[in-house]
Amino acid sequence: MKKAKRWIGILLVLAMAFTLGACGGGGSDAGTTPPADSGSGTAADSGDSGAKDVSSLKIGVVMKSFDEFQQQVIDGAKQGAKDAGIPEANVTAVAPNNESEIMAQVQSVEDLIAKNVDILLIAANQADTLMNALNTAAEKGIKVVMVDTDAPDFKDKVTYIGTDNYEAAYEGAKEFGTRLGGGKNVVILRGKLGDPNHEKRTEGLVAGLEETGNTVLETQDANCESDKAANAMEAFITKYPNQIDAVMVTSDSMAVGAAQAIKGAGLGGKIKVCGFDGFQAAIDLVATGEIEMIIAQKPFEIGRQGVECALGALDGKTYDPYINTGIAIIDGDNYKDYQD
Amino acid sequence: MSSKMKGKKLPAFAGPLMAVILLSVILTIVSAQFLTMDNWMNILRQTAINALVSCGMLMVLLTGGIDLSVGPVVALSSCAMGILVQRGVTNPLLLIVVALFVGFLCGGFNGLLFTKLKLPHPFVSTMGARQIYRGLALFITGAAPIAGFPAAVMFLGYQNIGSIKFPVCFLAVIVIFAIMGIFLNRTALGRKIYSVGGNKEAARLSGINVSSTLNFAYIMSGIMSAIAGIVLVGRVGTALPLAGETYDMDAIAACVIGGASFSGGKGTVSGTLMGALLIAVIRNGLNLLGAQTDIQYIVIGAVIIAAVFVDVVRGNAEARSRRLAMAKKAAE
Amino acid sequence: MGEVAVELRNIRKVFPGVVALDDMSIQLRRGEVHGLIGENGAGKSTLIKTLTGVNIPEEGEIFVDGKKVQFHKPSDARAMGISCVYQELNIVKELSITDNMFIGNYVKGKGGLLDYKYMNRKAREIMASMEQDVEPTELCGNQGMGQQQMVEIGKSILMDAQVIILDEPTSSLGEKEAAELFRTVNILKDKGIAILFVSHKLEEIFELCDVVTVMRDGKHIITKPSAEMTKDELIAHMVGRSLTNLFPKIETHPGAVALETRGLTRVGEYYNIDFQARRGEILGFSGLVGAGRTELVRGIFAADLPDKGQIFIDGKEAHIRTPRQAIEHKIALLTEDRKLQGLVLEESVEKNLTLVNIDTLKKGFLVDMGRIRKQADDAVKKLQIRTPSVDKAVGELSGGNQQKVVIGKWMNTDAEIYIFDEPTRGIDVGAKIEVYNVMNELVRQDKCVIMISSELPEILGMCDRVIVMREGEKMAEIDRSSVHFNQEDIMKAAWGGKLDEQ
Repeated sequence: MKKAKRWIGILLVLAMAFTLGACGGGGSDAGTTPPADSGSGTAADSGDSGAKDVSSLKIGVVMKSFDEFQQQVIDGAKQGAKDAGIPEANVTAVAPNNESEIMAQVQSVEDLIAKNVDILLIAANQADTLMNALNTAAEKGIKVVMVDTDAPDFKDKVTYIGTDNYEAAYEGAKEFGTRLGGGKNVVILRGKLGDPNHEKRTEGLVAGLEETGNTVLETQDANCESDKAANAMEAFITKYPNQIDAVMVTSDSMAVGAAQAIKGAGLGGKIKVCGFDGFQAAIDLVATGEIEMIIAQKPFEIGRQGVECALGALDGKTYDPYINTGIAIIDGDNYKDYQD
Repeated sequence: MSSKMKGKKLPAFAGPLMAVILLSVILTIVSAQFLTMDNWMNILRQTAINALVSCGMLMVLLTGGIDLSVGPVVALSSCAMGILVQRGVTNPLLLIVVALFVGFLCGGFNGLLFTKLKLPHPFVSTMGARQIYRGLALFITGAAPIAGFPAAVMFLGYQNIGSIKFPVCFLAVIVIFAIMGIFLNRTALGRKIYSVGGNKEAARLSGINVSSTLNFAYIMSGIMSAIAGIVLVGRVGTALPLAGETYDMDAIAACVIGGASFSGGKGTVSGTLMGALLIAVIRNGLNLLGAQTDIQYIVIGAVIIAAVFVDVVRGNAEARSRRLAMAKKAAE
Repeated sequence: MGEVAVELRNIRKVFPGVVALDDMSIQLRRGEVHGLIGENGAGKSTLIKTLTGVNIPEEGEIFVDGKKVQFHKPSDARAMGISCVYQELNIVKELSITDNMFIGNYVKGKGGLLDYKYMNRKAREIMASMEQDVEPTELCGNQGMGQQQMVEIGKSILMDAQVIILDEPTSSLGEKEAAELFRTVNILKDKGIAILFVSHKLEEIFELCDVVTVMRDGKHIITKPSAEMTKDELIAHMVGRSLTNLFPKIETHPGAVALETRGLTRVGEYYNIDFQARRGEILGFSGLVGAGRTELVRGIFAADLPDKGQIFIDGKEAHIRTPRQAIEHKIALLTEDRKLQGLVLEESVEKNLTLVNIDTLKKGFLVDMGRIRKQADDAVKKLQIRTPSVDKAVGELSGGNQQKVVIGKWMNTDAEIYIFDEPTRGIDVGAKIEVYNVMNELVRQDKCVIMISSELPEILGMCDRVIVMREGEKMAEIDRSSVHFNQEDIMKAAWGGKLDEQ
């Protein structure tokens, strides 16, 4: 038994040392994160000069799941709060483990209402399911801003900030299609079958590509997993020898897998890769030229502006029901602006 | 089957091997690209990760347990390398050692949960650990994939050799499976894993240290997952905190198709390798045919059920012939 | 005396290697308590299972209410009103008394939902008819063992049982509970139910039963009103067989004490056991099933740790905490249940033979396949293990050959103390003699041999000394030279009797 206790002890200590080390690292990262345009930051600064004391305001952020995109929205919200003089500690960010856990998200919203937050930023996984909770929040006077994904039937929101998935994909694909020059063959790797985001993005990509005169050879589901994307890309290369000119994806986790498979097949440069989302790992590949360009939404900006609008609403300001943050194109010319 | 054949048992990998061959014939007919050297190298490459994870899973299944945490261990071990890379560590040896050590710790933790805390079944303990490891992987990376690994680390998952472009990762699979085959059949500890899985109480009363044997099996599963993590990093060029969501089920499927039993004591590395290969061939073939994931789910599910069913039928037939032989003896 | 409710006529039931019932006949009458008694392995359980349709006999006839019937499955017997309360109760502790009584036969009300109002009332009525005042909604787990048994009996009444078999019903009851049970049995008897009462306790037979049947070796020996029987007569009928030359006993020369225990206790299993076992002798442990003998040797081997007491090996105190340490102290335990505790059935003969000593068969990192094969071949030759090949799965061998593999596995260690727990159970006569010869060989090598056996002839035939246990306590220690070294006296001690001059 003694031996066992010692073992468990050692394990625990190691585990803690490990996480602590990681913690420290994470902190320093956060310090250097803000990639967004500094111009809007100053705007917010000027905004709070005339305002009352906001340091006791509480902000809740409910995201769809836990990944880099959602994390950047949260970081943006924190930045927005900090700009307005609200301590970062007043920002509570939660998300279900998985986008399919619709009820968990509803509960998160309810919990935050119970916690008496003043501002809620919500990215809806399933707008209909959320309606009751959203209305309750509005009745309580909480300023609700929909971020990234809208709840169209929810009338009492401050605004919806984000880019529609279809539109982002469509605009991005048009840009990429134009750069390809038309008449090219493209394959698409998409996220999970049945996931509405990826459905919309896929539709957008196809429409954008076809409008610019390119052909979509085939679409495969790679479940947002890099190794599945590599497998599928390898199968494409086998199936369409010397026919594929480019590959588009509905999320960057698949772009990196596809890029690696292309490199492995010795076709680097011959098949162009277009990413989606703007994850750091993909941006790094833009630097090396393995990824041609990335269609990026502006998660940090969405989060930051979300808080800004909610604060404005508390002061009685009103906003358009849809604020389009638009897309950014990350490519060889500007990738440095997006790198950590 | 002739009466001469009846006495001899077919090796466990014969079933899935035959399925692989049958499927290959069909796919060769319906897809012109299937039977090409390039495609087969693809298949081998695509087999590697699942095969490695399955090898560890097999150790645990042999003891009558299960390890549901393999996917997150793959992610955590590769992300552990990732954060070191982010901090400027470029020594590939150090990175690999760290990954293996993370695998070792995770496996050890799984083992101790079962053997020391006496949690009722590893299904429960590894299900809990699975969440912990996934959480740690997300936490240390801030949920962001990490790129920029040195080429020497990526070598295992990325490099091909020779003019036929034989993947190094599959070479590693062959070497590791050969070693594990020898380990399971030719070393004392390997034999003990079978004994503990076949009859825990008999093993204990024969003086076998059951707890340390079990711990070892879980540690091996952790380390195998870590090796898979290293291959994954090479394969996709990044460390992904969300990697390996379906690895546990894929690995269990490979083991079961290869003849492993949930009650322990039964299963071989060769069968498992064939099981992993079969899954890769199915996925590759369906990809070539342009079938979506929905069809892939259905086909692989059906193959698992068929494989287990064949096993059950075979088991029943064996039990029956044994009973008849004994009754015959008693009557004499 | 009432009419015959159920009758077995000339029943024969054969299991691989054993004739469990041989020309067995018995009649159970309404309103009569029929005692059934016999040694362990006399065929009582098989008889019960034949009555309840669990076993299908090869020969013989079954009559219910004078009509010839055939049971194909347990539900057939149940439908005929035959029910059994087994020693291991079939009670779901987490459910209420009502639920337990109605399980599988739930009564539904109008809406298709369960009619608990009716069921609770019925349960209360039935329990009351046995003079049991219980609240039927209570959980069974909160009741005592006696009450739980009553619930089982109640279940039988609910199913309108005409014949109730009670299999060692008092084994887990205290005295008061037992008295309560007897009262209930008498109530059932007055209702005209036929009762078969299987017991190990002679006193109970005399107290409760109208007639008693003695069984031995699967055969009917005698049926007589218990009032016309004496205790000694019963015992004589139970054991009464002559010792043949089945036992190749050799002359022994007991030497130094190899194993000694002082005050070994594991609460609930055995208490304050002191004994010595010497080199060059066979020490027997006799007693009824459940007397604590298996538990005692498992304690010595640290399979289940004793609560207190000391163990000495070759005169030095040994602190044995795990089976592995026991093996290091050169103890070998051949367990009673070889399938569950001794062998890995799906593994080969060769591999099973390496279970204990695999660590000594290494050559560098690997195990030495040559030596393993040689060890297996040697064992097969020496122990005459009949198997087509050492690669055959051990589960496919006969019981006797499986036992030889277990023996072989331990012979490969250099153990000095061999504990055989029921080594010949379920194996044929030829294999038995081979097992005895192995013991003789060990004794010749001056090793210490301990044998637990429930078969008295075996104890008398092979042992130099016998320790008799009853309900966890050592009752007697009898040397081969003592006048008490005979079946009757050992039986007497095992049944709780005192021996003169002890």
